[in-house]
Amino acid sequence: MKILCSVGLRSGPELVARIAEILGTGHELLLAHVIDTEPRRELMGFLRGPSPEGPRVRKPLLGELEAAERKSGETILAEASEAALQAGFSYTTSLLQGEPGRKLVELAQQIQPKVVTLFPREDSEVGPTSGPASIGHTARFIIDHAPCAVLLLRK
Amino acid sequence: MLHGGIGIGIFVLTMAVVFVRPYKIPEAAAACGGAVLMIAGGFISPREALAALAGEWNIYLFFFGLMTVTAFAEKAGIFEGIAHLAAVWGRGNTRRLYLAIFGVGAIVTAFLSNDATALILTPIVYVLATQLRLPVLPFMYACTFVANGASFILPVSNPINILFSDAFGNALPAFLRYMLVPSVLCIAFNALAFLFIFRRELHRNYHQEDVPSFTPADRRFFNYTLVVLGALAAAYVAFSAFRLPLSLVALAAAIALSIGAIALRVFQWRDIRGRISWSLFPFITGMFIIIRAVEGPGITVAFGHWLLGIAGSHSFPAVLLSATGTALGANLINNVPMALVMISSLGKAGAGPGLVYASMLGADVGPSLTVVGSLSTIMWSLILRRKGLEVSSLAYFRLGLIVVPIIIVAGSFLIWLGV
Repeated sequence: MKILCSVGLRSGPELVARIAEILGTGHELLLAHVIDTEPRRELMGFLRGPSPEGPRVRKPLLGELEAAERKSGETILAEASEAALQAGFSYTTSLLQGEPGRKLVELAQQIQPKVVTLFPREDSEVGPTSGPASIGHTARFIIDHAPCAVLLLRK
Repeated sequence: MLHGGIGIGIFVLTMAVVFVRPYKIPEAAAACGGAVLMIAGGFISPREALAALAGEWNIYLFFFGLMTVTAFAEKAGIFEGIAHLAAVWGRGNTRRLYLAIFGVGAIVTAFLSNDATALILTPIVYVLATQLRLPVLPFMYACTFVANGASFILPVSNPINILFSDAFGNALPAFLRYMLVPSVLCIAFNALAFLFIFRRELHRNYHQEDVPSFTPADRRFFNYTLVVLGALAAAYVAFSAFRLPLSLVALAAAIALSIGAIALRVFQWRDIRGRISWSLFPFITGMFIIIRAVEGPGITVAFGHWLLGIAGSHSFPAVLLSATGTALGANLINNVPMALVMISSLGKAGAGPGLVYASMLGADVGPSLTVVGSLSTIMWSLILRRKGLEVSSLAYFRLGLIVVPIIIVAGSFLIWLGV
């Protein structure tokens, strides 16, 4: 079974472990992490903003930010891959950029997985454990728009 | 009467162009255009304009010296170094790191101005948070807010303060008497409020081994820059205490850093030139002339007298009104022109220190209300939102709405107590 896994900043290994626990191993995982570009856009907007001082963004800055994000994304996927390998899954990885919910739904439409798996929010150890507020906006968007089954893994 | 009305019209038109930026007209061009119209309309003679500008030499040299020092500090890797120190000090605890970023931001702001924190430290902290795999937005907000919140620790913490200090001759003891306690309390309140607001994002810790190693590009220049910055900080305090021009300190530090960079063969003028915001100079030049021109019809004086009328004997409502009015004005027409309007109004009306410091507080903290202290961004955000796009500038605005009014009220109260 092809499973699309939405991997957060630190949740990769735990997500893989939960999939193994609930669905068993032997599935094909697509470990996907989306670099959220909104904060970077916000930062650049702030730095370039309509201030009297005018644009003060160093040219290499955008490249430095992107490089840091890419490196972090690769580390995140490497961690999840390691967990998948140890659990006995076959896997592929995908590092995307953009609005996480939309990008994951687009990916799901492309690869047609049997199921998308995700945690309710980036850090589900804090905040409400049930009710509407327990599900973050990325998870909510995927639940609403995914073209396949969605497995929401509560803690 | 009609002549005066036209002068006010030019002022309003200039501010509208700065605010709306039609056809992406640069703010500096708008300010200079307004100044030319004022001179052409006879609202200020060329000689008066030149005299007004010559009187502001301390501001020009201070801006230039400060931006040069900041550029060298950035090139030496000072900002990366202190961000790295904060990450090490955090010992894997995200909330501890968050407080450290507030502390680092306050120190950078205190001695290198709010711009250094907002424009240079913020992207470095963004990269650090990304490397530590932490949510970046709370850290970004911490930098941008502390840049404004800490900008009334010292007279050099915000160039706006120099404008006020030059105009009213405020010495360091008086500045500290009125501003130090409000400043420290405002930073503390801001940090605690954000720790609470972002408690979910800051809940999870980071791995200490993820902290990237830090090695400056040139260790000798890094150490040399640290020494110069230390001397700069001490000289700022000494010069402020004796009411000596702070531009001399900033310029001396810039020259010392230039000599060091040349001697150590790390000097590249192109690199430094690119880090200085040259358009600031025509902008403030235009604004100085425009504000001096509108003093003629007596509008700013009338505004100052109106404030004093409310003030009576330095009552708290007047102090609060001065701070709030300046803060709101800063978001409408940007804090530099708003500060100039207030300086003119309060100066001509002979206002006391309470109103002056309250106005400085409003000009310093006010821009935290919106992304760049301008309502234009908010209007832009609202338009996008109507089209179904969520824009995080609104999140910034929401944070500003929570923090700024409390800081303004509490800060005004403390200033009033100091009166």
